[in-house]
Amino acid sequence: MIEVNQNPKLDIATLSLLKKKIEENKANPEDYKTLDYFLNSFGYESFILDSLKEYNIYSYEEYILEREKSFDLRNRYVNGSVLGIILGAISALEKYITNTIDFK
Amino acid sequence: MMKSLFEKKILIGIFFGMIISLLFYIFWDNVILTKRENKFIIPIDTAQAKGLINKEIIDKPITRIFQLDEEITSFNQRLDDLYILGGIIIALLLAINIGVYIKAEAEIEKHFKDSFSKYKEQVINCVNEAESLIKKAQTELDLISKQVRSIKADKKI
Repeated sequence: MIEVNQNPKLDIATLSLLKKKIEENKANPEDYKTLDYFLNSFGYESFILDSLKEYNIYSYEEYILEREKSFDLRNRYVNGSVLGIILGAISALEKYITNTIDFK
Repeated sequence: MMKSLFEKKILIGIFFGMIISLLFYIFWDNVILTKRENKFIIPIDTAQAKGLINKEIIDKPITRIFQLDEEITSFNQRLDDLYILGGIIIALLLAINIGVYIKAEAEIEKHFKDSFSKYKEQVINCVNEAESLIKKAQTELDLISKQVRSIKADKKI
């Protein structure tokens, strides 16, 4: 179970801020944990962390470090697939809370 | 060693070739052509009688004939000059084309070597961006469809 210091509120503003922080690699491990916490509330336990493990990244700290690395040394999936998974998860959460999903 | 010997042989061959060509030219000019010319010389009277030479030419003063001959020679020389000039121009154009081609090839190679890493980085960034978009769409679809399925299952119950 993911531990988050405060009880974060799932709203558009928080998700938008998280998205921008992650895109610019200014998010800290707490932010990733918050995201995983939100996903957990929808039944996806450790979704982000498990996705990172698929690409041989075992913690949020490691992911942040990988993204800070220079072009030649970086894990080639970090700025592609992994970032896409995280942004996709945020986008799905946005759709849940804005009720834009067609359940028919 | 072998290479220098080979080059020496080539040079000697060229030298002998030139001497043989020169001897052949002298022989051709002095013996064969002279004989031919002598063979085809026909006295003017006989030529006129046979109708080989126009009567008007014979009647013209000798100075006029020389003048005509000189004009033809001069005209031929001008034509030769034009041919040489044209040849030089074509050769120069070819040289320029070859020069441009070689220079362009060298420039492209240099540019490619210098900028390869930069372009590689750009290509990989594009690939990463495309991968990111694909994964984003895939993840979004997976998460939403799973949620929709679970909601539908709850409704059935």
